[in-house]
Parts: sequence; C-alpha cells; structure tokens
Amino acid sequence: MIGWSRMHTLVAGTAIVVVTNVVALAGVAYNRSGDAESTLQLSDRELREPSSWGFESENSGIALRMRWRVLGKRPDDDQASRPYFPISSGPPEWLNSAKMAELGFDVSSTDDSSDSRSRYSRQLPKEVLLVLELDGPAYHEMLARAEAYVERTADGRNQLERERNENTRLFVVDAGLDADELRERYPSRSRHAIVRGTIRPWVVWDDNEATLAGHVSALSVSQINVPLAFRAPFDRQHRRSARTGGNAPFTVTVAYGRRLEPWIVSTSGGDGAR
Amino acid sequence: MPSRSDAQQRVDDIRVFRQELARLRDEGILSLSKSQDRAVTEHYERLLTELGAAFDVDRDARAKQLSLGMRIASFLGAMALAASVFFLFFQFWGIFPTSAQVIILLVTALLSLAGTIWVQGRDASGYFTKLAAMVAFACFVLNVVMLGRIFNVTPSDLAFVSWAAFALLLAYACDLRLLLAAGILCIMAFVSARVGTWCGLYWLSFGERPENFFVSAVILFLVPQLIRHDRFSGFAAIYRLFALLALFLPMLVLANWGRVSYLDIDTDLVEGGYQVLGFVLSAAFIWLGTRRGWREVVNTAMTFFVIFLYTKLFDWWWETMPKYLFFLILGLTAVLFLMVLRRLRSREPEPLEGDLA
Repeated sequence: MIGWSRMHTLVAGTAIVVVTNVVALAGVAYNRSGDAESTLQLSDRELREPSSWGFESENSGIALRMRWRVLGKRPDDDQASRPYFPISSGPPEWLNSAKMAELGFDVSSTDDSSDSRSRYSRQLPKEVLLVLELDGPAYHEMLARAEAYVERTADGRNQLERERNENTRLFVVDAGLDADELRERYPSRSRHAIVRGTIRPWVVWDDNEATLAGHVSALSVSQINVPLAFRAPFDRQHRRSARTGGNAPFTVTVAYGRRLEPWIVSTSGGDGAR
Repeated sequence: MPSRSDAQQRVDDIRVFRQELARLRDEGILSLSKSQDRAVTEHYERLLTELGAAFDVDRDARAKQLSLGMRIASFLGAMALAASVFFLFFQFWGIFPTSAQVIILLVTALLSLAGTIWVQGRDASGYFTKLAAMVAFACFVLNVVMLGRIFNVTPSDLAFVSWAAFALLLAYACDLRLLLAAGILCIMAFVSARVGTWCGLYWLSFGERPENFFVSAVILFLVPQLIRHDRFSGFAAIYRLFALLALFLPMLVLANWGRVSYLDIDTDLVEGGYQVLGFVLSAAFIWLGTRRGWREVVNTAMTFFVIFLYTKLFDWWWETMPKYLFFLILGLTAVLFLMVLRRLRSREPEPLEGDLA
C-alpha cells in the first residue's frame, strides 16, 4: 500500500461507517414513508415485556416480544377427550403440503416411505411472508374450542378464562410469497398484518398416518423496540405498583411499513395515552 | 519503509549473526580485525537503535518473552474493552431518545476510529493500537446491531460486508492480525450465508448446511496466492489457516452427521465420502504445506488428519475392542505417523527463508 497514510485510513473508515449508517437509516425512512401497510392495536396479551434477569437486568432499553399462535386442526368428534391446548394446538391446517409447495418447498416425494419423509423434513427453513391476524376468526375459533372443551369435560374453567382474557389473540393464518396477493386476500389493514417469518417443513403424525406439513418457526422481527417517548406504560416502577392493585394492561399501536418492518406509533397504559 | 515484522526479522538476523560470529571466533575459524569488529559493532548498534526507536522491536530473547506476554495481555484487553463498550451502551441507551441514540452510536464509531488512528501514530509497539482498533471495531458492530434493534430492521447478511470492510481496513492500515481474523470471520459468514441463500434457505440457517463454508474456504486460500502480503507479517498464514478451518471443520461435521449435507443420497455414503475426502485432503495439504514451507498449513492439516483418523478408529473399535488394545493401536498409529513425517522431513529440506508471506 504505497503512499497509504493515516489520513487515508481515517477517510476510508469514516466512509464505511457513514455509508453503512446512511444505507440503514434510508431503509428505515423508506419503510416508514407513506401510509402504513398495516396498523394493529396490540395489548399486553400480544406483547410480552422483557425479563429482568441475566444480561437483560443491565439493559436499560425495552423491547416487547410478540406473542402469536397458530390454529391447529379442529379435533374430530371421536377425539372429544383430546385436551385443549391454548398455546399450540398442533400444526396449522392451512400449512399443508400444497401450501408448502407453493412456498417453494420440495414435496415431490409422495411415497409414504420413511426415506422420503426424512428427505422432506431435512429441508431447511425459508423466509416467506406471513399473515398475522388480530382478534379475528382464528381467535374466535380457538375461544369456541376452549368453551366446547369446558362443556365436554366440565374441566378447565381457568383455561377458558385465560383464553378470554389473557392468551394472545394474534394468529398466523396464512403465508405466501407475494405481498399484494396476500393483501388482496386479507384487505383489513387493522386486523391483518403481513410480516416476514420463517417456515420449516414438518412431518405430522396423526393416528399413525404421516402427512407432509409445515411449521411456522419464527417471525423475522419478533421484538419491537419501545422508544423513550412511549415508555411510560412499561416503566418497571409503574408496572410493579400497578401489579399490586391487579393487572396493569397496556395498549400499543404498531404500524408495519413498506418493508414490512414494525414500529410503535402510540402506547397507552395506566398513566394514559402518549 | 520496512514494516515492523521486517524490522523484527532484521534484529533477529543480527542477533543470530553475532552469536554465530562469536562461535567462529571462539573456535578459531574466523576472526575480524579490531577495526572491522568495531565497524560491525557500531553499524549494528546504530541500526538497532534506529529500528528500536521506529518499531519498538525486541532486541534480545528476554524482550521477546516479555513481548509474548504483552501480546496476550493486549489480546485479552482488546476483547474485554470491546465487551465493556457493549455493556456500557446497554446500561444507558434506554434513557436517550431515538435521535440521540443514533447520534451516539455514529459518533462513538467515528471517534473510536479517529482514536485508533491517533494511537497508531504514537504507538510504535502496536499493542495499544490493537486495543484501540478492537474497541473501534466493537463500536462499529454495536452501531449496526443497535440500529437494527432500535428500528426493528429485518436481519440481513449485508451487515457482515460492512464489518468485514471495516475490520480489514484497520487490519491492513495498522498491521493487526486480530482485526484480520475478525474481518475473515465476517467474510466467511457473508459468503456462507449467500451460498445458503442461493441454495434456497433462510440466510440465518447457513450454519445448518456445513457445505456452505467450502466456497469461503477456497476464496480465503486463494487470497494470499493472488495478492502479495510481504509487508504484513503473518497475514498470508492467517488466511490459509482460516481457509483450512473453513474446509476441515465442516468436513468433520459431515463425516459424522451426513444428514446435514446438501447431498440427497444415502447418509452412510455421505459420511463415508467425507471421511475419505477428509483423509485425502488433509494428506494433500500436509504435502503442499511441506513443499511450500507453510508451517500453519502443515500443522492444521496434520491436526485434522489425526482427528479424522482417531474418530474413525473410535467408530470402528471403541465398542468391540478391549480398551488396552484400542489405546495400543492409537499409540502405534502415532508412531507410524511420526515415521512418515520423519521421512517427509528428510526428503523436503526447509527453505532457507521462511515463505510465510
């Protein structure tokens, strides 16, 4: 490096840092430009506050983790005794082999051999577009199942209460590769958000019968940062004191932009809205 | 202008020459006249003083030992300071509004870069420059990671490109092998993630298919062949070392867990194939390293050859054989290995000048 001086290093290093920041911030600005792609009003049922142990105890920032579920297959009548699972009721019915093929997974091995099943499940996850539904048919179906379960078994009244008041109402209800197509199918921008997430192949066993299916493994952005301006409802001191008098509910309006990345638009809690 | 490694090499040569000259004098084979002896002594003293002032080189064996301690201390210090920067920001970032967070991250990255350049101008030893450069790299990594977190940005493998560029810039500008290693790791991550993406998987899953690392292994191995690194001590060796790690570690995984391979064939066949490939390639690299005088290649390939061999022996005989016999065979293979290496050594005289660059 003939003639390379410290000034050159400084200039080149500054250029790398500045260009990286500009590119990242331009992406953020683009995401938040124009009208939001969707806006969901989430509550403490759908967003979990960070834990305060381990390294997190020294983290002064707050990021809310999204709580979501999928609606599994409805139990047949002869499976009336099957327990009701509030968190995971099995693989979603819509994520079948046809949908997996549509998402780009190889489902060509149709024979029922263990080799072909193993070949299928060896495929690695893909990032696709997921549809998040808030307080929609999927949640009401889950609520109905919980009620039916209580009726059938005269048990699990606490579970029904939790389903009514505590469990998340946010469900992943569909997946695809084309955002416009998904939006056409789910036009309500306050009920359905299109986000990025990963799907992994999964072989489901039901009554000794194997089916090729999929499993929603994660959302690409699963935590939402709370900027200082919106932190009042999450202030730990406030939450602690609120808890002594019962629960301390909060509401967070989350917008998704052009790049399907979320940000907080407003929050409200015990202290009132911001 | 020579580099620090050139200067250190010259000092080492002078020390060896003086020792040998003294031996020749004691044995009565060669003796310089008084004027010649004085001229040589004065010349070397002047040269050593100049090199010492310009590069903070180790003038004797004691200084070299202390330098090793300083290298270890500066490495540990660099890692600790980098961790400290992370936790310092974590401790306080929540109390700032978003705009202030962004400005703090950007300014910290720029200031730490400027600080590194400033330290470099005043630190002939390079130890403090290494500390400062590692902190600057940590600040930049933190900068990008936290921007992603503040604005909920979808994770992207492109971050590795920026980090690699920054680390390599500091490595080459300040002659720092630690930063070179950091840059190489970023390149490996990016290339492997891209290969994985081209093969249809989510980029963060690139580690689940070890074959993704093979392309980066080839690239890293070719870099010092295509670009001369004479001015940078040990850089070429580090490239080759990481290339071999990117080749043999995934191969070792695949030789034992064929299920994680891209190859859609019988698992036993995959494992067997990679076992054979592991033996053949490690033997080939031992030969190549010996031929070219690449010590790091010989050592790394030899280590992996032994690991491949021992894992295979373990697979075959651990359950079935009495333990004394199993370990006896391990010992005998080590003896056999030593004999082969001795033959190789006697056949391939080491070059007079190490070809590390």
